[in-house]
Amino acid sequence: MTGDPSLQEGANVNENGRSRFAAWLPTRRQMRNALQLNIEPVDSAVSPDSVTFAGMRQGMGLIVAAALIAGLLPSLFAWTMAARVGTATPLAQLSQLAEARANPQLQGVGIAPVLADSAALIAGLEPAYFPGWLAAGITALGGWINWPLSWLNIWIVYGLAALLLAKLLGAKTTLQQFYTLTSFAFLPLVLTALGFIPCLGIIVNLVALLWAAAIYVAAVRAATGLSTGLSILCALLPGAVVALLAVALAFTVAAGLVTALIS
Amino acid sequence: MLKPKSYPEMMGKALVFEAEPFITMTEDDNPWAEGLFMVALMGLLVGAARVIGSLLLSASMPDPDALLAAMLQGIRQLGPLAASIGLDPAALEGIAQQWRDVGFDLFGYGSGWMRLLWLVLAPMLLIGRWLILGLVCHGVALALGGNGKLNRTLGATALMAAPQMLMLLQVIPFVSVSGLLLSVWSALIVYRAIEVSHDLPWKKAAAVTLTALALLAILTMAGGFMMALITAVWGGAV
Repeated sequence: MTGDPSLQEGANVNENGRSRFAAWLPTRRQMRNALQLNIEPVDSAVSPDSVTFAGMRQGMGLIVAAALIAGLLPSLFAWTMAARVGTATPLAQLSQLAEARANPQLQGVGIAPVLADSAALIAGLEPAYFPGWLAAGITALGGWINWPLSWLNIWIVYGLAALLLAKLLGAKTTLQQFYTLTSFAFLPLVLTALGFIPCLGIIVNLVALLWAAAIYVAAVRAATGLSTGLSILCALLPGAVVALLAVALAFTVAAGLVTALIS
Repeated sequence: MLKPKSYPEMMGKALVFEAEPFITMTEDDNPWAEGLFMVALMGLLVGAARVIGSLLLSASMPDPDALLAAMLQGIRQLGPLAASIGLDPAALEGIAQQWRDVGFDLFGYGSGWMRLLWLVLAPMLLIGRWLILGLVCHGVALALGGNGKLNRTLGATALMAAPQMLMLLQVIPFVSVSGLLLSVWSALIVYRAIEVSHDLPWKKAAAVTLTALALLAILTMAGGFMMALITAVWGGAV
């Protein structure tokens, strides 16, 4: 039967001496090689420490683990804040957001203070059945689970766009090879856990994003065999198109609102 | 027939596009029946997860009527401001009321016995999607030179239900699984299923999948249009 050949699973899937849990993650050496942009092309990898020896299962596990680590601090913070108020996390966050946007110098003027009051009123409502701390905890857990789900979304959906572009440019790769190697690009995003720190958070997020982009390009190059330039094109073009569409949509909506207000 | 306890492992391998689960399904003694059971079981589990999730959501959030009252209070406070920018406060109150009646039910928030509908809807929707996609894929694959049988195609494409395992996380309130992720991941699994069951090269398998998805999208839009038309005509008659 014609089918994409499975990648060699390598030392990771060997159950001897490795826990079942560890079989869902790449080895530390593979992760280190990826962070150092040391990703060999698929057909030339010889060492089990090579990134290309990992499987897609390990890649998926890596993304889930990295996202859970990155989301832990923000979720704990959200839980603490919501538990103090005694309400579900999204309501507490809504109240905080509305309060932050209400300019204290315009107290009683404009829409923002009214929204802030309403949000505070809603956040002050007690949960229907659970005690406040439990409602806060369960809803914060939901927020935490959303981190790996959104990262998996980016990995699969964005990856498909990049892969299709690579295939159009003549790349010879398989679904498994491509997704396995590109999963390592999510490793540096663990640093976004520190994104909440004022000033430093912006720098950390920027470093994480640039590092992730560099690993993604290296992974695309290793998986597809394309040149560095074409790999950059495949890796970044889908993102650029999405960004342009988002800007165009925002512009259209804003123009429509302004037109409606003027008329 | 396979044992249901082997389903999680098979679905896990299907999620990472390994060939083994697709081969297992096509070589089953009754692939379409196996597929039907697998999809129905997954649908039931997803429905149950939504029901439990909606119960926990209702327990964690304030009473819906109290929430509505707070929203209406805020809208009334906005009254003069809203009017000054051309918004009708009464219309805003109507929208908030509609959200209480329809929107909350949609999210399973305070919806009483309505939430149990998911135990029926979820499996029905999954099975419907699987059958339509499987049949269309089989037809297009044969047209493009595939050599699989319908029974085997349906068996292999049943693994498209694998990404629905993520929906089981909706047992926790406010967990949001992207429809786009589910659709794309399912499409990739269908692509693998067609590759294996019809022994097609990757380009033809991709063409089969894209054609089938396009037809499914057209059918869905046509179905939505018909529903809207029927609603409009029926509503006018009443």
